[in-house]
This record gives sequence, C-alpha cells and structure tokens, in this order.
Amino acid sequence: MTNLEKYNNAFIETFGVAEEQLESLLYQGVPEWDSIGHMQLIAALEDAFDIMFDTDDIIGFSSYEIGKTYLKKYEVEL
Amino acid sequence: MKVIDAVWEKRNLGVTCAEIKIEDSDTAEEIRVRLPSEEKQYTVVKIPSRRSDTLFLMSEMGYTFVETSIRLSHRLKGAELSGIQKRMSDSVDYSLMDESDIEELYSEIRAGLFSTDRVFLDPAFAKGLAANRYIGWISDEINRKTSDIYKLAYKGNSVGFFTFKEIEPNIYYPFLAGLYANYRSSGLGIAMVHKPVCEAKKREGKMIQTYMSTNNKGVITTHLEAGYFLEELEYIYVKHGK
Repeated sequence: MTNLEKYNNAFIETFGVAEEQLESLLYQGVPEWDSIGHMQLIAALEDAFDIMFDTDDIIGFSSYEIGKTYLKKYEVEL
Repeated sequence: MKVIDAVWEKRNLGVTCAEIKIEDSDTAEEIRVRLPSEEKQYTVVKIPSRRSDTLFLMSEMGYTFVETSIRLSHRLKGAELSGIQKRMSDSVDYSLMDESDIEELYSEIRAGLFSTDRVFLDPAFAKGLAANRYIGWISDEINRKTSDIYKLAYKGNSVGFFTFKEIEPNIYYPFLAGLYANYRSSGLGIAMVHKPVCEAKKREGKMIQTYMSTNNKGVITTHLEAGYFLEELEYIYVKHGK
C-alpha cells in the first residue's frame, strides 16, 4: 500500500466518506469530522505512519489537503 | 411542582419568567389546572424524562419543546484520557481570570460563543439577549464570589474558559465553558472538559456535575470521551404569553 493510499484510508475509515470526497474534505465539513473524529483521525494517521504529531499540527490540521503538507514535516512522502 | 420566579431574566431578557419543574407526584390533572396560574411572560417547564406521560399535555397547553437538558457527572476516578487526548489537554494551561481576561470572555460571548441554547434559538428573543444572559450570569457569580472563572491558554494565547462552583460540599459544577472562536475546531475541546476534572481533583473533590443541551451534540460527546457519564435527562418546554 502506498503512503497516499494509507493517508486516504485513514479518512475513509474514520469518517466513512468516499474517496471522491477527500480533496474537498474540511474539519467540520461532514458530521463525522467533529472534535472526537479529529482525534480518531490523528490516531489513525499516527498509527499508519508511526509518527507523533505536534499539538500545533493537530490544531492546524483543518482539511485533507492541509494534512498532506503536515505529513511532509514528518518526512512522509505522499 | 416546583415554581421559581426567575427574576434575573427580567434584567437579562426583559421579561418576567417562571421556571417550573414537574415532579413525580404531579398528576396530569394538577398540571393542567395549576400550570396556567403560574405562567408569566416567559415560562420554562422542566420535565424529568421518566414523566414522558406529560409530553402530549404540554403541546396541548401551548408549550414548545426546545431541548433536552442532560446532567453529566464525573467521579474523578478511573477515567483516563487516551494518549492523544492527554497530549492535547496537557498542552493547555488554566489559571484564574483577571479583569482583562473577563473582558475578553465577554467579548467572545457577545461575538457568539454560545449558539445552541434555548434563548439563542428562540425567534422571540433578539440574538444579543442570549449573550446578555450569559454575561449577567457570570457577573452575578463573580460579584457574589460564588464561582471561580478560569481561562484556558495554549502557548500563552487564551483559547477558552470554564467556570467552577461548589454546589455541595466537594461537588463542583462548571456551569459554563467554551472555546473561543479561533480555537473552536482545534481538538482543544478535550482540555475544556478535562481541566475542571483536574481542578476538582486538586481540591480533593468527590464529583463534578454539569448540564448541557442536546442541541450541542459535540460538547456532549467530548464530555463522554473525557469520562463523564449520563445521570439525568429533562425535557424542556417553553411558552411565551401574558
């Protein structure tokens, strides 16, 4: 599985969204991406890539696209 | 039936107000006869969920269902946060507010910090009135010295607040809490509900009790994630008149 597939799966499995929705997906953009869903997503990404997000990054992780830029910080190439 | 003359709502909302709590011993006939005599310009009726037999009667008497109020408690033991939740909560400090913090809090409230309560959602009330009501409530608590108001700070920036009141020996009631606009979608909500638990433990308390509206699902789930449990449900009906 590629890193992009792992990244996408974290969203799809946490929020139950379709792959076509991912590019425009925002925090609070679907009911499942609420504060609890946010923690579940972060946990799924940390597990998938064996990383630990800084709290600044957890706070700033406000969309699918922005999340990609944060992963680069942790040397995860998508 | 317990009837409270909510005189403070005259200042807050500009109306006379009665808050009425239906009790287990109230029969439907007693409610039908007595309730109209207790009504004011704004009447709020609270019905324990076990008295669901009275719900159709309330509609028949012209009342509108506005929310379910839920009481959540935390026993301060055996409910640990998950790893990420703990990291988020630990990244937030809390301290007693000074005057400038209070002004910042009032400004956030005026800007719409609370938008799911029965007054905010009621078209009979102007939007600013809900904010006045919260500010009046906090001011009263500060003036009477009956509550402490804490600010939440992340890396030196104010991100929210919680109130803290001892309602019975060693039982604490954070009657209001919130995250400021810039931090509402931040994942810091867990700190807002966990810091009162930390403070209660620090004071060697036994329990925290708090109330919230089912109109705010997010804050309920955050409390449940932080180890609070459901204790009681009350249906809330309102009526404007007289």
